[in-house]
Amino acid sequence: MPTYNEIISDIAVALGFTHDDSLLGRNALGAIVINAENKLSGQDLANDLGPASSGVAAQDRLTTFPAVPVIYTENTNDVEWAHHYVILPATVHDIANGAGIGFVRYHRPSIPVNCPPSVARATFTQTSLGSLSALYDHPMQRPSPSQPYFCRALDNGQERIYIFGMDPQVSKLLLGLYVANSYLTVDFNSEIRLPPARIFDLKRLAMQMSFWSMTIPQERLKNDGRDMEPGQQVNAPPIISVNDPAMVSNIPQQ
Amino acid sequence: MSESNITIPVGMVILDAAQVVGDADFRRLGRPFYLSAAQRAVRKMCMDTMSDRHVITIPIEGPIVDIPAMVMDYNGVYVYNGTTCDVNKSQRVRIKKNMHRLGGHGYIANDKWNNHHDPLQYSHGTWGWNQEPPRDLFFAGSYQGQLHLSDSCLNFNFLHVDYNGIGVTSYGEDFEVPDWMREAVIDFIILRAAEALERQDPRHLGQVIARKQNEMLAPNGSWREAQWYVRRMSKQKRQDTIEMMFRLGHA
Repeated sequence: MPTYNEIISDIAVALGFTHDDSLLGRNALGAIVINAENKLSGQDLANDLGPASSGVAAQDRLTTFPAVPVIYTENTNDVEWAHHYVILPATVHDIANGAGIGFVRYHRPSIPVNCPPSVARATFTQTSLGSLSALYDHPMQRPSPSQPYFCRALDNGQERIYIFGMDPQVSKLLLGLYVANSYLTVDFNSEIRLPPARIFDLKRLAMQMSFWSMTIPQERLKNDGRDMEPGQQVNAPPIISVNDPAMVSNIPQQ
Repeated sequence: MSESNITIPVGMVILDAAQVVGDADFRRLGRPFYLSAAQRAVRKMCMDTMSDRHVITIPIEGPIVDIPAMVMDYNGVYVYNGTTCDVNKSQRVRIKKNMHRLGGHGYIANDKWNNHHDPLQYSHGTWGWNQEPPRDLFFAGSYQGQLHLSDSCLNFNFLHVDYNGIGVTSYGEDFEVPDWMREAVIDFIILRAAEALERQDPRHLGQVIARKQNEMLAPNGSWREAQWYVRRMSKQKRQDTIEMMFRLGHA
């Protein structure tokens, strides 16, 4: 698979952005490539985790985070329930039904000694904070150590996973996340994690976004086009198909 | 087949169902949804067939006894003297309609055996109008999950209740599913899960729903077949029935 730098070079050469004062530098192109890669991998994951798929095909893109520390918050009033929370260790793909979080599990080596094996292998169920009240009222679906729930929420800009029903002594969890690449952490010399068939789409998508910068009027005296020469053509984005990856929604359509 | 003692963990049936609707990792609906659907299926089947039979023994410590179990129907109520293991003397208790006690002496009922202050209702008994219920008549009112015992029952140590349940003894935990209703329960869960997921994949799941509704309703569907399984008589039961009818009398 090509590296980020190789793709960036391809685009830079194709668009004539190789010189020092080009419209887009390598870092800007890198950001565009990462955005395009996230869109394409998000589309693939949405299909692979969608209703017509078993989810098996997406497993090679699942990143596990063992022994993520959890923080316990005890609430003694009836307004809120006692809960744990985890600070989301990475940015995850935004996929329908919260599928960006592949799984949450007990971290077996660190569960309390009094936990029976049936609790250790419990399945965590994703829900929303708004659903919890109804769930606590349902005797069969109430959060408990053997059927814990989790949900995502923002707290002062911090992405968290809240967990309900766990034993207060639990201190670590095992997370499986579909992680989206971040411009701040990616190594441009690393290989792009996309199927080979998607490299063409990636290049085309990144080229389209890069090309857009060439259509922006520069050093114009007026921004209504009156400074243009008579008959001068304005660069316009090429017409693209509705099936182009740039146009396709990341939510699978039925 | 009602003698069957084969049960399977509920985890088996909910996974079999979840795999059909493409949710084997319980990511879309969550395992508690499937657990709840399984409990609903077992409860419905138990109500249809009256097959979840239990007994419970409770010490008699007062005239009002809370029944600490999920009771759907009483098959028989008894009082006995002895211990939780040994039975010395036992008596059948009749359930009396409209009888309830307030916790102390006496009880309230429409017919109190001695009804001589009620000009429209006869009293019972052979030796006069003022007779109290016989001491060897044991009865109780069934009221809001409690049994209100007659004074005659209070001479015994234990209350023994034979009842039909709803398939689970507590909510929120895994339970066992009788094997004879396995396919019916799986189909019931698939139906409920497909209904919940239908909006995500209506073209496929609409067909699944139609097929599973047929399993629930058709004479040869899994639901009716399970009912037939549990109601059919084993060879032992057929022989016993003949003996009860022609030799032993009432069971």
